[in-house]
Amino acid sequence: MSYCVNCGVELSAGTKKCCLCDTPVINPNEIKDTECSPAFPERIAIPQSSKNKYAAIIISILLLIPNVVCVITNFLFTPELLWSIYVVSSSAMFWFLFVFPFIMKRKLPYLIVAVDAIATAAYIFIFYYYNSPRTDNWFWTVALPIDIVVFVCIAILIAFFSKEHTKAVSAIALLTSVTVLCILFCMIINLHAYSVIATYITMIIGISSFILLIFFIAVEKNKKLYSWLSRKFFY
Amino acid sequence: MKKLKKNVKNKTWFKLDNAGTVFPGQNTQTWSNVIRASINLKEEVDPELLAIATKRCLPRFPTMAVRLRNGFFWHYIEKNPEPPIILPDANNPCLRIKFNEDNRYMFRMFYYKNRISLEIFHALTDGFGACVFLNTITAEYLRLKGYDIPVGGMVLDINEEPKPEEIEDSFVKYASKTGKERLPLFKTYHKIGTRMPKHTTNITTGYLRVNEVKAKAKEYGVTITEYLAGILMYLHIQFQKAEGKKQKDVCMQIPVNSRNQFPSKTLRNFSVNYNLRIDPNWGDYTFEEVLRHLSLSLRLTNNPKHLSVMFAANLSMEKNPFMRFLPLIIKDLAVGLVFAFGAEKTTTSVFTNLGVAKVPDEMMEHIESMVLMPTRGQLNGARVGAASIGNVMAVTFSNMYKETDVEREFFRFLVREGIHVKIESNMQ
Repeated sequence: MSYCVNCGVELSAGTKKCCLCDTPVINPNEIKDTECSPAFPERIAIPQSSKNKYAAIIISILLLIPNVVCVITNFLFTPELLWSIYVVSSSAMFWFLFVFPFIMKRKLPYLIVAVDAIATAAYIFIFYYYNSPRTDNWFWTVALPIDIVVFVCIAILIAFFSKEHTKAVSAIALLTSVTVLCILFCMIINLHAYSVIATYITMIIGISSFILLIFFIAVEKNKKLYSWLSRKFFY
Repeated sequence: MKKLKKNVKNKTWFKLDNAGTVFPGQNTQTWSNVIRASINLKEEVDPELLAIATKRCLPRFPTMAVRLRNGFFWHYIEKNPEPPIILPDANNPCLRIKFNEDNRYMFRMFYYKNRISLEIFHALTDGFGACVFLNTITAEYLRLKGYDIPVGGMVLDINEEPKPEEIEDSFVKYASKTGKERLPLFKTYHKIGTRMPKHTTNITTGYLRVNEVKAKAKEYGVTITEYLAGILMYLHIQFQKAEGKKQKDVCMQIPVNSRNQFPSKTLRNFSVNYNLRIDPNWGDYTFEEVLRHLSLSLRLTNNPKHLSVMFAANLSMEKNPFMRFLPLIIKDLAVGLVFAFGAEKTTTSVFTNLGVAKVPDEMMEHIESMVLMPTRGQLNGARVGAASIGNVMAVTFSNMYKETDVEREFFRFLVREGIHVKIESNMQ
């Protein structure tokens, strides 16, 4: 029979440390190697992953049916007009965004983001290829860079939020990413339209975000300010 | 009466009781509202005999031997012809219930060394009903082992027919026809920490001596429930104070067995939750002040009139014609959303005390202790369940966080009060 020297509680026979405070149990009177049974078995019952995978397969099959019908109808009745490409590409886009993650055995968030980025770019490319005149290269100068910027930003945010942060730090991260995204969008669009790298329009967003960022950083660093604000704006 | 009895035996489906209607909607892939009750015997459990005992007892409990079905407007339960499932215990109790697993039963029986455990979905019954079910199975198990165990207390006679009053929805029967109450909703303090991995819970059980706790509670002029819930409330006030943030209300949820106030014999849900709050912004509270506040609040609210008004408030959804004819899928979605964004925000922690389980003396000779464990919370850090049998009281913390600050301070408090505490945990 052992007691925790910190907590004063009696511990189960053979316990190596107190389960309340982790203090090691040293009892010279207790015979070593005595067979002690823990209160619970070691086996952790993790249920089989839900039937998401099966649901994903069923959704995939259901999605396939209208696509096949559309493709056959297209080639049978209007072979000169390739309208079924929009149905197929939209379905493929939906599948990659919403069904593909459930088919993966091990969830790899960066792989999902990469696949989504490629799927989105491919989807936009189809519209670009079939609808835009060859002289306009908006896909390469606007759509693709924005697609890359957005998904890189999502990947960075996933990496950042995989660890726990305070609310203020999380707000700073989100605000920074929104500001950076706005500036980059503005730069890409201006470069395409006017061939200049300009960020005039996003100045307003940038300045507002910058002020908010300074405020959040100040609140995060200065405990007195935080306490004063909590008192002043207590609701 | 004879006709009614016949009806119970031949009934193949039942409506869920008023409290039970909300639990299926709260169910998620990782969390279910499950009650776990365990009995520690003095000898190792034989799983084969336990399976036979469970099977024999099921006809006596028609509302437990069921599977959940979806109607167009409401869930209902129907007789389950499959055999029940007996499993070896695992390190992570109160695992989520899936309605198409375990032969579609909404309860699971576990065995581990000398312990028999029952995990049951809250939609079927409350802590009292779960303990009656478990004690009846354990008594039958002991009979199969060759012991002579009579019926009485929480042990029902399995040769008897199920009684209509045991399957009634007592909420409907005893709800006030005229009284109305709107439950106030406040955001409350939650002690946070590092979340346990998915599907796991940090369990700590402290075994106390009933006579010691009773004597100490008597010193303060309160009941055992008030005393232990008071400690929990006091500790949360201290934790919040130490965090130095904006002081929110500390609210203890205390489920109360309404069978103590009404002559109900139902084995289905018949408990309601009292939310007892204290505002730390009013000043520094001593333990005695917290205890007095909690004790007086509980005594003021815990009376049949107030309970029946609370039943009526809970029944309002079921009686509202608009809600009644809303398709089940929308109802479930609404319940899930309300629960996800509201329910636990209004309570800091839960303290549920079954009280002393009454079983025949012949059965007591084979029992060491009885444990009642609430399911882990989704915002409530440490939730507490207590049950006593003989002179042993088991106080169990189900914690969603790895940190054991609440448990540690709670049991240290009891030790300082001169109460002997023996600890065991699934994290050892």
